[in-house]
Amino acid sequence: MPDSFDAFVAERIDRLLRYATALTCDPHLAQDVVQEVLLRAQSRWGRIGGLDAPDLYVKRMITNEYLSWRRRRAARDVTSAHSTLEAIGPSGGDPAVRHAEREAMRIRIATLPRKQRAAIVLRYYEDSTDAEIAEVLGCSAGTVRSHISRALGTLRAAADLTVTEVHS
Amino acid sequence: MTHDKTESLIREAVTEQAGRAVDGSVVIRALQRERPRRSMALVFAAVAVVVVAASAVVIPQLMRRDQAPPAAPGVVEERTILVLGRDGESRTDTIMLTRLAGERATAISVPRDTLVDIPGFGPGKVNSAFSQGREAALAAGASQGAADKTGAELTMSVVGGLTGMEIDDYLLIDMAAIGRAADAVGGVEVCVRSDTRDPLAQADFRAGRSLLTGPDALAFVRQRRGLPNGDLDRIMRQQVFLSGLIGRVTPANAAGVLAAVRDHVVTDADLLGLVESLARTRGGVRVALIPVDLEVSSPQGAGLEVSPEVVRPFVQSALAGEAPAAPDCVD
Repeated sequence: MPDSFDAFVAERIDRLLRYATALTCDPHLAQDVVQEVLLRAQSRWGRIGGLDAPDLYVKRMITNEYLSWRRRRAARDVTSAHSTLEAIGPSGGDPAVRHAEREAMRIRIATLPRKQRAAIVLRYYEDSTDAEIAEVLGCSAGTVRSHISRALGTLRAAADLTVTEVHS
Repeated sequence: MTHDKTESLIREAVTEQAGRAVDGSVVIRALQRERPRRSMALVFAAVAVVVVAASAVVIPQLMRRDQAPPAAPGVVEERTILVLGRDGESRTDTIMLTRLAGERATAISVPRDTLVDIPGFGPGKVNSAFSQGREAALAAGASQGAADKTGAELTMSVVGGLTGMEIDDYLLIDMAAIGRAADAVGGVEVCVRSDTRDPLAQADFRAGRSLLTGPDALAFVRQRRGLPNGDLDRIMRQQVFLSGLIGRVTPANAAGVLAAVRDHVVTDADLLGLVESLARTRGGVRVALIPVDLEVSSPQGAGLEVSPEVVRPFVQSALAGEAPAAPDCVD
């Protein structure tokens, strides 16, 4: 069984880390969360490894771990949001504008409420369906749609604002 | 900006964020280093629930990693958790050292008035460890969440020192969530010996059996006045309720229980894993109360004296299977 765990980790570690990093917006926090979760998963791998989709289960553990860490510790500085936003200068050609917009969006996403952010990451990074997101977050598909719709509302408004700033 | 463009920007931004992940080999090396340390993941989710109900406390991290045997198929998962039941911001009158070992769950209550030595704060009642640690953290500029953690960890250290147990995790539960937990399992059956009332706790129970849900469940574990032995009877009620609650957690309703309490729990444990573990326990919860001496007056008010030399062997034997099942009927 330990061999099966090692194989799982070897195969999935990068993907899990990338997911956790998108979720937490903090590579080091993501590392802590993934390590913590894998240590726990290892101790009951006999059961988890026998599931149809152990990776889904582990992803759910990571999500829960993140949601609970967020509750009990102050959010670390995600990134220097203001300086980055200010650095978005007048448009200097499409690639530069696009890069600035993307950077601004990355920061806006990092400031979303945790469940909204988790829903966004699952939808747009993991390409999960509403039902899958509901399963991971432990809520109904209706709640998922509401998280995503509110997050999109916030992000769209912010994006419009950024575009205005960039082009003004 | 069109909807589609926003979505594609989101997609790019999230991917960009994901690309900042550390290299997987870093984690693999760390896992190899930690491998022998930690063993099971927690069975105690149930406890959490229970705790909620009972407002107990958990002792999280004492057990620490270097002691856990490497997990292997067939090995019984064991976890020691300090369950703390919180009423209001910083009152943690319910303190339970809980242990999950395979199908067996044991909860050892520590009366809130137990006199202990609180590291960094001197002598005090055990329930003041949480508030003192929490307030000191807040005064130092910590967030509410970080302050809760500090208070819980200080309590873990106090209870760990008193009982000689290494505590893996803490589970801090808002008592207000007890009713929700009871509802999530379809009610918790309890039996009381005689009619009791406590207007302050909004408690009014008739002798006999009843299925408690919502506010009645909360009143049941909160009532202290109108009982022959006050806080000690309340502890018994919390244990009985906890046992009844855990007994009703099943794989089918575990997700509902988790959803009901999730936002009312602060823990360093894997809550989902805990609830699943609770669903695996059988035969109710074995319960015990640490041996306390007579009430004495102290600078911190009337409290219960204890001696670690007596408490430690008691806890060892209680956890080894000598603690009895929770009683059927209580005062």
